[in-house]
Amino acid sequence: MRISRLIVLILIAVAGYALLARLSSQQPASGFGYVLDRSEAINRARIEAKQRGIDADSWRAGVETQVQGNSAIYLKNTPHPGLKDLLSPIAVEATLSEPSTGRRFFATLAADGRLLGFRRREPQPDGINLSAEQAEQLAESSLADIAGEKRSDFVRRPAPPSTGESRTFSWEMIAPDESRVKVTLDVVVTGGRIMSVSLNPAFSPVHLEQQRKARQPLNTVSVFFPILIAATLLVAFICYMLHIVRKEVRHRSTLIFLAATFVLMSLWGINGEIHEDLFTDLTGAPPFGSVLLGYALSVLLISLINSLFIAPFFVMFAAGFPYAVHLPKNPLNTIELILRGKAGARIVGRSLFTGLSLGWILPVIPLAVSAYGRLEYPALKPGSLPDAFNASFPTLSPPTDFATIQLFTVFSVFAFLYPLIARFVRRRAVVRLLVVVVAAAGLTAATPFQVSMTGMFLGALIQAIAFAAIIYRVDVLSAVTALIAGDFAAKLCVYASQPSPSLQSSGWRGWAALVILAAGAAVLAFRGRETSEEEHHLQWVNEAQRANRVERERLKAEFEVARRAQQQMLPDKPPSAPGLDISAHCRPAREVGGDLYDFLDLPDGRLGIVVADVSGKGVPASLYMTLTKGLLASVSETTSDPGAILHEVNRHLYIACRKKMFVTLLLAVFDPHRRTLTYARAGHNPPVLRRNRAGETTLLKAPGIGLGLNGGDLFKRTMKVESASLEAQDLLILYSDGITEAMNEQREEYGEERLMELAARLDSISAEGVKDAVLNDVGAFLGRVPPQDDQTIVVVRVL
Amino acid sequence: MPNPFVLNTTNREDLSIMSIEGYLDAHTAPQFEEKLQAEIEAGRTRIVVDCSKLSYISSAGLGVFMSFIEEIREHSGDIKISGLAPKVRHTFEILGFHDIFDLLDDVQAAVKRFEDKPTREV
Repeated sequence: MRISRLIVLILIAVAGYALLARLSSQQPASGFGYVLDRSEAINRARIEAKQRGIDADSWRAGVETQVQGNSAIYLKNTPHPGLKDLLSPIAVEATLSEPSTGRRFFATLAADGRLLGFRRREPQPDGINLSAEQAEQLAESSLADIAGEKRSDFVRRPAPPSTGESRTFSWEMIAPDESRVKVTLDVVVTGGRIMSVSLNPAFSPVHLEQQRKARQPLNTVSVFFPILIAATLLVAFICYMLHIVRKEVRHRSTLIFLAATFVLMSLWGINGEIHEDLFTDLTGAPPFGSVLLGYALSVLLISLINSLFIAPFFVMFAAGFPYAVHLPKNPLNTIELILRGKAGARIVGRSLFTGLSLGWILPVIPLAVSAYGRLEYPALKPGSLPDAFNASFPTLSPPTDFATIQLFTVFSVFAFLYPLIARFVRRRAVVRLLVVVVAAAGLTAATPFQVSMTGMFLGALIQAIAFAAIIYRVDVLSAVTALIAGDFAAKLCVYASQPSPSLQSSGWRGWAALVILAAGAAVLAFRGRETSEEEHHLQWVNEAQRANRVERERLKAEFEVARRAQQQMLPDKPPSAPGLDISAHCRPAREVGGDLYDFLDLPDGRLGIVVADVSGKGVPASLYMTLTKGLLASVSETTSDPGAILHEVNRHLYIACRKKMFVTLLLAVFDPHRRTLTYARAGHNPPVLRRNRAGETTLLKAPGIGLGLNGGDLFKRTMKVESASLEAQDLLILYSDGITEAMNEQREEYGEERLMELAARLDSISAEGVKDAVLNDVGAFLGRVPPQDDQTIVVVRVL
Repeated sequence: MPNPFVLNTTNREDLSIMSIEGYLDAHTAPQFEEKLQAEIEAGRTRIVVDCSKLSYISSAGLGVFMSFIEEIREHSGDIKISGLAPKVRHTFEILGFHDIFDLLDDVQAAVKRFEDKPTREV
């Protein structure tokens, strides 16, 4: 990463997060006026208990934040200002309990600290028996507690029939505007004590209709999204299994990933999520008799559950990785480096820093669409923000629902679907379009607009493009970091805007943590370990590669054995025939070849020289070459006639070759005493005969078709055995088409003419010298082009 | 260095005229083989192979001709080869193919040969 890029990113980050903080005031959660943090909520509950004659200072305490769904809808839909002081969209329920006696006190507090109601449990009756009037007077005191100045708006409702020892008293208030919202205050008195006080907004058909409409688009998405998730996961899982079967991913990485997730999740649990009240029933003894043990077990359990929740992310990653390595730039590279324990690499720092700097984009998009597009940001989605208020900052609290869905979508689309699609679709523009549309469809479910499908899709589309841009320019790790950082920052904005000093300071500490993380990432980006180009690719599939390499080397070794076996099949050295100087060479184009030369001691004492070429190359050709050699050796045991030998070899080869192959062969038989040459040519290249004394160079072109082409008479009919008488210093060159058909870069063939001209210039040279001269001349002709075919040459000089 | 090879087939009544261009070697022979196989499977066994634009043939290419000729002649068809350039003709002749196949100067002559001599014995 260059310094200029760092500075630009820092400037972008400062501006972006400032914009986020500004737009964040649009978010309903920012207006909660939260004065309570966890300890303050417990403190308030104890004061309220004391006012009702309960000394709960030494009791065990727990806190739970609740979304008051009905109250939220009322507050949103009615202009009546009085309701604001009465209801609250969010509430904190503090529970106090004394396990030894079973006494409990539940206080429901508004975010701004008002008492919304309470309940108490008393196992022992107090033995006081109040008259109806006395009881009503007692109950009425609650009206002042809860409604405060609004108490004059409440009118007494006829009491419902009392059940058992309890008496219920109700008051109701009707908002004086057209909404006619009705709020009921119910007070239950048992013996001489008020057992419960609660405020209940009542539904009217108008409100039910409003609520139904608000849920509709979310319902559509909530049906569509799980199907999408399940389908993607299923496909990813199948791919993952295939990769494992093909040994393209390592089991060990799965374990490392799960262990790392578990450790991270445990940190989350220890640091923020878990309080005593989450793992013990406050009314009973802690499990296993020890708070510490209970706590440890809870951390373990919650971490395990959270880790399992993370597992699908790993499946996506592992399913996508073998495809991603084929992309020009592997977007999963840095995640893979981290999994291999090489998190100290510079490119990891670069991805993290870029992600941290750009995180604001993601929460800003829905906020901006809502602010400038006049679309409604949801009052609250149950389970999203409020629970985090229970944790003390800086905390590593898990992402909100909102971010979880985004995270899942982004990861499945970019870590799995994108590499998969790119593997099979070649055109980059098509891949990008597909990926953005799929991501936008997935992100729609995560975009928080309760009433506008258009708004949801618009926000999701912009987010998808932003993600795609980060992934194409940097990688998936960067995008995921951005997502988590953005979600974290959005929470911090909400924290910092609450009146509670401890929440505000939590917010600021959170910001400080973000800055420290970013600084660490920047240091890593500049001072981290350099990774080689090789490390950027194919590491994940290393094991499969290694397996391939082992396999390749084994094959190579076997080929070497085959090559040597074949070379050994060729004669060690030319026979020392009286009156003849012979030199021979065979050079296969591949490890093994289809060319052959051999010397046959014929029964009548003459010497047969064979050069043959099996059609095709490589292993199949070499097998037929071996067969041909065996047939020649066996047939020449009993006959010395070249024609008869070739007929017999042809017959066998025709049966063995099944028309898939044929063999061209030249058999030259020398009679050193009479100085004659008798030869038969089965479709082979005609040998060059150089007559020294006459100064003539000719090709010996006796007719005949290749061996194995025809099993009937045709072969016999076409073949003519010819003879020539030789003189001293005559030269005969037998060769295969690898010599005359050698082709250079200009696609010219070496050709028979060149060979004949060369032979004419080599009159006084030994057989060995002629052989070397021919091979060198062909080599020079080919230049840089490697030989395409086996080259075989046998040179005979008559002495 | 991939060798150029082009294969075109036209039908003239019951004759298939396959014209091959460029290099028929171990790399390109399978294309030719497939095409010939398809013709035979379609029952078209009277085939003229026009080699006037064929600049090179290797043993693998020659093998393709041989591997089908018997089957074709059993169905009273034939492969007539036309328009061989001198160098390519030389290769055919070295191998003795002129004893097995009718080698004609051009397509016209090959078509006419089918009228005179629809097939020949192997």
